[in-house]
Amino acid sequence: MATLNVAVTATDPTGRVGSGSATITTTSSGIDDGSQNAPAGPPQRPTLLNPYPFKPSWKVAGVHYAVGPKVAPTKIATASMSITVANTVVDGFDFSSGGGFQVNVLAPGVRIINCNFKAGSNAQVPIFSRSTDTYVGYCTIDGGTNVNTTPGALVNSFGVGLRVEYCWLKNAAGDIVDASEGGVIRVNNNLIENGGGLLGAHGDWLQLGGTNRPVDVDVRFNTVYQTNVAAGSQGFMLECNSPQTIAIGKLLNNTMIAVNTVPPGNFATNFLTGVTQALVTGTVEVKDNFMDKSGSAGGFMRPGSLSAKVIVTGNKNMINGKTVNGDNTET
Amino acid sequence: MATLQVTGTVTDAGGLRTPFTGTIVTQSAPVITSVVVSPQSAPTGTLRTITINATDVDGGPLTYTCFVEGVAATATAQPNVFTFVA
Repeated sequence: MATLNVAVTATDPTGRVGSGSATITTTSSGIDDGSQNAPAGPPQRPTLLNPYPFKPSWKVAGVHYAVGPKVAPTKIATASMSITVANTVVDGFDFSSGGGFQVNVLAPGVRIINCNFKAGSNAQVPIFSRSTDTYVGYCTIDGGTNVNTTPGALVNSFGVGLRVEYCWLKNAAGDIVDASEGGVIRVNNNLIENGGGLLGAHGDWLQLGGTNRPVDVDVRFNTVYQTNVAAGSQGFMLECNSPQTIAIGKLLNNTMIAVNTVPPGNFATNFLTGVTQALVTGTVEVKDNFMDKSGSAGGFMRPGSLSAKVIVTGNKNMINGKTVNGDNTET
Repeated sequence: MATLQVTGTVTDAGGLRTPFTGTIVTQSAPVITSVVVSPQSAPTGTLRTITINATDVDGGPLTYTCFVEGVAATATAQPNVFTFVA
């Protein structure tokens, strides 16, 4: 619960001013928005939603609660590390020194938590996994934009299954998260700022890969704030390449702001790439997302493929309060 | 607005006096009698209506402002009514 102060004035024709005040009390939305598991501390972008008359009813990552490490990571001067033991926990390290180091995951069930990454002259993907069920939580991962043309994504997984949550993911030269081997993919409660910093790159916030494993992908309660001008984004992709299929796809309750402009000839920003019907074996829900698509190409990319097995409902334009439909019309 | 009666005399150097009377009109600032927020307590993201009730003894039209934590609320067709999502 929070209390907001209201200040009002009334002015007569001679310029004399009377003033008054009141309060607004905000309570829990009743939505299980995951905020109860957020780290303590001030949120990164507390005023991000102030300009918008229509706001989400849940607590927004990076606005109402912080993301990133729960405790300050310890800076280490070391080379990149490879994890070869299953279920290893990498907890509380700062890999930002010495040009930026990488955690290379070669064993299943590895958890990387409370860590700080910043790509630099080493030009390495901060987290690179080639094993199953990698967990990345409560981390700050800064791609350093395109200074060193770091290849790939901030989190690049070639293993089956991936979860990324409560992270501050920013300044990627290309994608934010790549998940290339299907399985259960979860991207929740993150603050994502600026993918596609490298001119001409697709700064996808989530890119799925193309093997023959079905994907169960759930993306919810993330905040995206895209302001850079180098390139755009295909947003959260709920599509894949044949023969891979989407068994379950959910894009729910995300707050997505694209206010960037893109140089001619480069990708614009989209929030969702279209879903290929033939590759959806279950259903895909795109529901209750809030957006400012000022810098977007329209919102949803390839809207013609959003039909039948794809449920698009309740998505709101935060500027005018209108519902953004799957074909990018607003009603 | 209040009107005050003024009486007095003017005396010149020779001691001649002339009485005078006049009035002073005082104007008062508007008084905000209440600020009603509806709903006052509700989940985050709720559209609130803020109604400012004010009186002005001078009777002139009033203009209003409304800020929530320093952010301007949205004006409506009624000058004393604003909306804000919080």
